[in-house]
Amino acid sequence: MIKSLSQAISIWAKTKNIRDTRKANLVKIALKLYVLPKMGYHSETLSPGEFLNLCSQISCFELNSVDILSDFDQSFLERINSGSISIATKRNYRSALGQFLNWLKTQPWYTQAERPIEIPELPRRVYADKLLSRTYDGKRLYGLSVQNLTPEIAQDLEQYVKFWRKGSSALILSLSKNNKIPHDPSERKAWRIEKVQEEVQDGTYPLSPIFRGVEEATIQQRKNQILRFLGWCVNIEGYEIQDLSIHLLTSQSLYRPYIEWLEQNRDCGPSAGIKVLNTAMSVVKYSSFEESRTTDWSDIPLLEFLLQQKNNHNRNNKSKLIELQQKKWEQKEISHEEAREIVEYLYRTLCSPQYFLIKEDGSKRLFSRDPSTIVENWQIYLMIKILVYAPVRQEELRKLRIDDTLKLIEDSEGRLRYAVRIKEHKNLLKTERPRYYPLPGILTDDITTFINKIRPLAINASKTKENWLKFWNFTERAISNLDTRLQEAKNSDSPDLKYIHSAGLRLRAMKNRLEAQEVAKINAENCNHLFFALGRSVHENFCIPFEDIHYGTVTGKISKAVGNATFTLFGQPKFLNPHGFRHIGSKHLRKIGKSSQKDKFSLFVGHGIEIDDAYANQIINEYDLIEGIIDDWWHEQ
Amino acid sequence: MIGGMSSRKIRLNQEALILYDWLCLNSGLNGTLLNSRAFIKWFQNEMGESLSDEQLSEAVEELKSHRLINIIGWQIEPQPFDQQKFYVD
Repeated sequence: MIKSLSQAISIWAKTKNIRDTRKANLVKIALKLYVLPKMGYHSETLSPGEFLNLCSQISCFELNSVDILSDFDQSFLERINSGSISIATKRNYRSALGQFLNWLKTQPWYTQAERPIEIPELPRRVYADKLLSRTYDGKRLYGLSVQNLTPEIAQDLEQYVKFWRKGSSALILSLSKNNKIPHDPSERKAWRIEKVQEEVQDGTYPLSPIFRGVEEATIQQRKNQILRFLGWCVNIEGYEIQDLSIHLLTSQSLYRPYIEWLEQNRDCGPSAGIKVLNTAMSVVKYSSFEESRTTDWSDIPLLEFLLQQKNNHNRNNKSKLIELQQKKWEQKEISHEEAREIVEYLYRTLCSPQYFLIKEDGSKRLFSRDPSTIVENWQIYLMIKILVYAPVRQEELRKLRIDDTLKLIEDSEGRLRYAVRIKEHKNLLKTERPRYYPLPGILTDDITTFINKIRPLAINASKTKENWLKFWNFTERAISNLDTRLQEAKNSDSPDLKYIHSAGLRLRAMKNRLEAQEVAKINAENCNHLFFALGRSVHENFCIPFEDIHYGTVTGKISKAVGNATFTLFGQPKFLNPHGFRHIGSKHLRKIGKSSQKDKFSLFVGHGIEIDDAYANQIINEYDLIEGIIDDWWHEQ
Repeated sequence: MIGGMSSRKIRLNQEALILYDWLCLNSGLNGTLLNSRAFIKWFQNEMGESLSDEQLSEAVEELKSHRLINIIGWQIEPQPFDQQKFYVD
């Protein structure tokens, strides 16, 4: 819809300085008789209704293309010379026209008009080499699955999971329920007296450990750790599964060689040993809960021993850990300034529907992105932009649901911004409160554009077969043509096997994609997440939220995009993962001298100040800190 | 002409008309976000009159009832104005 001249005049005519004057009429006449004809419109002889109609078809911005007042002067002069008007009337028209033009220049919609859509000119993209994968002795996976366990071990493991889900208060409640209280009143009385006598005889009032239930992700990590340990026993060490139990993880005769094997044969760092020992301690706590008579299991020697082992392990590996952290950060550290530059670069290179590719010889070729690529690129761009300006956990990005966990609000100063409110989050058990925070205003326009213009490309894609094919940029005819060519290639006297293989794969992918439309339609109808998978490799995953997919999917997309961008922009790839943005943010805050605001920043990103300090310390060095004050440390603030 | 009667133009309230023009002028490719505070402030500056939240929501409702705007999510997309049907001034 154009921003029409008639609307501009209409609204101006109602403003306080104009509405009771003849000025709006003078402007209309000036435009009709003197200005628009100079711009090529035949407006002089139109009726008022016809003129209004014409003005509703003329964009205000056409006035920018000419010098209105000089056109008016010239045209007026011609009419004076022809004797049709007198010069005395000119001043009124000119003044009103000038006033209208000046008013236009005060209106934000006029001065901040959308720039004409520029199609970016881009050189051929460069891709950073991927980081080398870890190399292992033997198979990548060595852990067992629950199906490989004996019923006894499986049941024990299930009990372990339930134990950590519940927390001590729920456990004590369920234990006391196990004491069957007699229904009959006289029997109940006798039973209670017996219990009282037992308590008096014991002379002690038994305590039991107090702990909160653990977050599900942690429980699953520990469960998988146990399954990997059992897998090492069976697949690497050759034990029979029926001879094992989860409690063997607490025995140093087994966990020590396991940790050694992880570090020496599996390229694991010292943190792997810490994880094994943490899991071993959780198994001890689980098995000794009823036995312990303290609130913190301090009467269980095995637990004390494991804790000491863990501390020793930490101490012995401190320098190795620091070295490893440094090595890790060398591959991914960028500054916050660079991160912001990456955001701009990604917008410029990934988000436009069309772009000119600049070839080596300097010639240009126009390319259009298909809708699926636009959605994919926008998701990556927007996720990275959010992580740069709001370094929250990746988990929270994946949980953003439109008008549910993500809402557009008007803040106390009347600015529109998005706010996030997530009930189920990592620290819920600790904080017992939902995560609730505003997002920076710099994200508002992009999130709105994504929600209103980009995301619907995917959500509406599966509604009809036509949309679906258009979204993925192929046609039924393309399928049948490929099918025909493939058959011809197969029937040829000298079949090109390489072509047959690749064409066969492409054909199968297209057919599968076509068949997935119905599932995709159901997924899209149920999807209110901001970010979701497009199912490029698993077609049925179309519109499945990233929340329901392994977190590695998002990590991979983001670190790859940052790796490619840093390679192009700074000449060296930095594969920053989503969590890394939290460290970058914490460091930046301290580097620019806003340490006094770290408590609020910690609240924003959702962890304690201690963790925030630890995150910053991993990548901040003394030089960075000193550099921030070196030139003015003696000045009073 | 319907059933032998001449069709009559619909007159919109002043606030609704101003809001409509403002939405059109402020709209992007697909529509515009109606920032109510910004609009009320602009209205007071330009028109020299105050506008309450209630008057604003009445204006929105009026435009909605005549299908002059389409509210999609949080954005408002102004629909074409039929000059045969509505008063412009």
